[in-house]
Amino acid sequence: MSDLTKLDVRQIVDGIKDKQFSCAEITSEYLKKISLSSLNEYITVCKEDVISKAQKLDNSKDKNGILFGVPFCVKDNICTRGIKTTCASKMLSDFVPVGDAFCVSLLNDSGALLLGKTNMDEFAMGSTSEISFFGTVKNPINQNFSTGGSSGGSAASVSAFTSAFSLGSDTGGSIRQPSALCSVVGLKPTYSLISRNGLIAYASSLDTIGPITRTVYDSALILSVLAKHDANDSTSRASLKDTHYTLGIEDGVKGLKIGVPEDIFFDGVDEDIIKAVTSCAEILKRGGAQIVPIKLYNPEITASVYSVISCAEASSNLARYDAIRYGYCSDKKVQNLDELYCLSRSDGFGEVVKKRILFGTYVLSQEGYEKYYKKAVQIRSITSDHYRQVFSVCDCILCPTYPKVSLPLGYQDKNPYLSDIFTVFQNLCHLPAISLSVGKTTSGFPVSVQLTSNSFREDLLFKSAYFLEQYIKGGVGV
Amino acid sequence: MKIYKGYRAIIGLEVHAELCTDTKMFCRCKTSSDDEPNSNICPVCMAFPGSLPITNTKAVELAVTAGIALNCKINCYSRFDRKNYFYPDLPKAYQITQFYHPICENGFLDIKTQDNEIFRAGITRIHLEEDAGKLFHDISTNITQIDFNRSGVPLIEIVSEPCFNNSADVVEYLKKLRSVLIYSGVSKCRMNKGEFRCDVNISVQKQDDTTLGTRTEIKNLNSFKFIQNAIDAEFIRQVDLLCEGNDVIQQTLRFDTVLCKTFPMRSKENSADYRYFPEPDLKPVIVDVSYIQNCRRALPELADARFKRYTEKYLLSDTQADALTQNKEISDYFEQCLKYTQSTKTLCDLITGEVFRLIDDKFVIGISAENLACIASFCDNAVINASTAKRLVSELWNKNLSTEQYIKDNDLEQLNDEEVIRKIVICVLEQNSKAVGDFKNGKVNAKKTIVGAVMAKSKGKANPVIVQKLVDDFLSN
Repeated sequence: MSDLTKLDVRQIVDGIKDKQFSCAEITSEYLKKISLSSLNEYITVCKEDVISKAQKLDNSKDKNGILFGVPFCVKDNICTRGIKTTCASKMLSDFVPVGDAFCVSLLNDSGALLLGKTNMDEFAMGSTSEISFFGTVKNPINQNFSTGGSSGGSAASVSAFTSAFSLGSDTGGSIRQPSALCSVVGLKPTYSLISRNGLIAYASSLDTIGPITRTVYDSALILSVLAKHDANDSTSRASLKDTHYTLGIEDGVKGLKIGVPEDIFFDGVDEDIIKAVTSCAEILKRGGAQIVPIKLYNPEITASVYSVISCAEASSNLARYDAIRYGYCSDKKVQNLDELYCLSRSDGFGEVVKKRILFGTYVLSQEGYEKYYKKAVQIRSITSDHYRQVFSVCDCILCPTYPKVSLPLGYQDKNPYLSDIFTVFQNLCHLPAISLSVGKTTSGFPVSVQLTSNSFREDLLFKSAYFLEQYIKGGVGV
Repeated sequence: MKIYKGYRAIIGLEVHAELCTDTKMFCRCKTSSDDEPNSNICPVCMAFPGSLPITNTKAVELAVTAGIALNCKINCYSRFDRKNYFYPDLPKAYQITQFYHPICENGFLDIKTQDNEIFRAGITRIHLEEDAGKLFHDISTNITQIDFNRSGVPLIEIVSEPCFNNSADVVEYLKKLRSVLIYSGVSKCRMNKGEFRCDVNISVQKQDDTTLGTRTEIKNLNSFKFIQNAIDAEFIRQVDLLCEGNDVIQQTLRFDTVLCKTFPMRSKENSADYRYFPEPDLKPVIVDVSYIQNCRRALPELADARFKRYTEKYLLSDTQADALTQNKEISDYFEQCLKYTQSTKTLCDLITGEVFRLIDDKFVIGISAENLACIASFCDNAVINASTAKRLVSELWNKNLSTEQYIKDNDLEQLNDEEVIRKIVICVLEQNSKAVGDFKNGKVNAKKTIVGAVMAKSKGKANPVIVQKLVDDFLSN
């Protein structure tokens, strides 16, 4: 039997159904691969648990789960019952949740097998997966390079065949950017489509959970399992009916209008990426789509708005880590309550987290509220209006995911917020977006592009992305 | 006192009332406060990572009901906000409350002042929020323990206009407010269980001045008496300060009930910066016009309306009606009794006399409404006399017997046969010739002795009216 870990999700489900291999077999192969990995993409591996679960599945009569026998991993900011969930932070390094996140229970119920919890930037704040209490994650394409972040471990794992698919979280690009850098498919669904119950909050109005996969079809398949209403998440979208996102995925792009921003071609964007966007536009045109020029809403202002709102919400969401009920508690002698808070939080949080909490606290303070937070909220609303306009003239926006094809480890981005300009507006405006690799540079780094559509129009994303993926697979490179 | 050294007090009140819901404001934990510490908790009210709040719809209904009962405008759109601060009894380090858009606004409550006038106390707003946990400080071990059973319990905060000028009005308002909340089913308002808490905001201004002075806030007042004393003490303290040429510092105070003085509560912080912003985890609270109408229709009869009915329809006196409506359980009991009898006055007397006397701390009424009603009816119909009626209440208390059966079994029926009574009177007169002599010599009380003897001889059963009449007849001859 050839390397089972090279199979995509659809192939695994079919293979087990056809009795080509068992759940236990494929799970063991994955565990072997994990043990050989030097990428540091996993924080926790559920060795014994997953084998016994796989054996149970093999012995069970009911083998009808949509993801029956498919091994997956989950970013370590998503709660898993009885399994350490750390957010890659000293603050939660020993935290064990009492329940599964809603999305995890859906995957478990569908027959998927949890291999372990993946490494990330602490509390999802970062875009390199280097800011982790458990050390840096390395890019499987070239281990001297970063995976991107904050879902670096999840992206690396899928890319390095140490899981068949993974779950990440995306607040300003944290699924899409590492997916781009690791050459895998990363989907950020519409906010509220997947329940946030069990996702350890960073920025409540921006956070989204999403699948990282090797193919676009797999992405649609996983989304179909996860897009369910959850009464325990008040922001969870009321269910219409069960949506099968794989239906119609092969329809092609005839008649679709693809918006390409005029203003993406600026200094900071790698040549290869610019070329890729242009080529993809051509490919889609060949498929019968129409290219429409559009404008992104002032990217610099959008980046600032994102930074104000995400830090403001984070400062509130991370306030609960006060050493009283769970989490890291300083072992130094304290004189009073304030000292307990200060010592535990100063020591338990990393520098980036602390910076963002401080900034977030400031923009909500009496001094900063009018100047920053209130303005940011107003501009957010204007930004949403802008994209509503854009989607009245096009179905999908085609643009880069990230301005660079690679990030060396230890790279100091002079302007980290500007690097996010292609990914933050979707979180701010609750739009879905998918990133996929469409080629390689001469040094072997993936070149990725991103498609964005209007809220709840993931179907259009999948159609366009699938078309591109299949066209390029067909040999015609970019 | 209203004016002191030329100053008057400006007082505003913030009342927190725990809502009568089965479960907490944002999770499905029980709200029962009597259970073991930390037995009604879950990841949501303990603020575990990854947990999210879900709005208790019954709490919303009760808040709207309170708003209707307090003559407020009900906002069809209201929203939750986060109030951020650190304290061990606040698990999320923020309280979910309604800061910017409360559910009710601009209401009022009419109260009677000391001068017997009607004063319309304005209510600025009513909003929903969650309670914090409870801290227990043990001074001997220097350990503080936290019970999170109360964390997340639904509250409404009722904020009055700063419209009060004296402590007596404040107490009247609080009593009335409590009554409205209890009668409308919104809250049980048991002060000893912390279900009704009042914080006082007080400042002073010169009589002819309109600018507001610096105010202080007095917290942790758990009885009407202490509230009254605290207000009086703080009023004097502030005025004295200003008269000495000093400033009133804005601070939070507690009231020492022994020294009868206010003391600063926290050493630092004056107005904390709570960094309010809209709660992103919850959708806005939307109530439409028909919802509000339904709540209005479902609003139970309040104490005032019952008082009116008792005085106008049943012709009870103000004092009687007041005694019956003071406590909703008593009033409900009275209503129950009315299903079985129309002897409202006697019923009222029996309740305010006997039932009040026999009732225990837990307010358990040991005689069924049906039984008490029966006693009242029998009394009015002269089946039993008044003193028998009173006795019966105690004798049937906490016993599962029927009044009718008991009367028959114990031969308590009133003796109404005039002939039989006449024979007894004659007998008694013959046996009490001294008393008769005393009466004829002007000792009026001697008649009472004779009447008493007749009652005793009839084992208390003789119809007192007939006895009185016959004794009078005989003695005047």
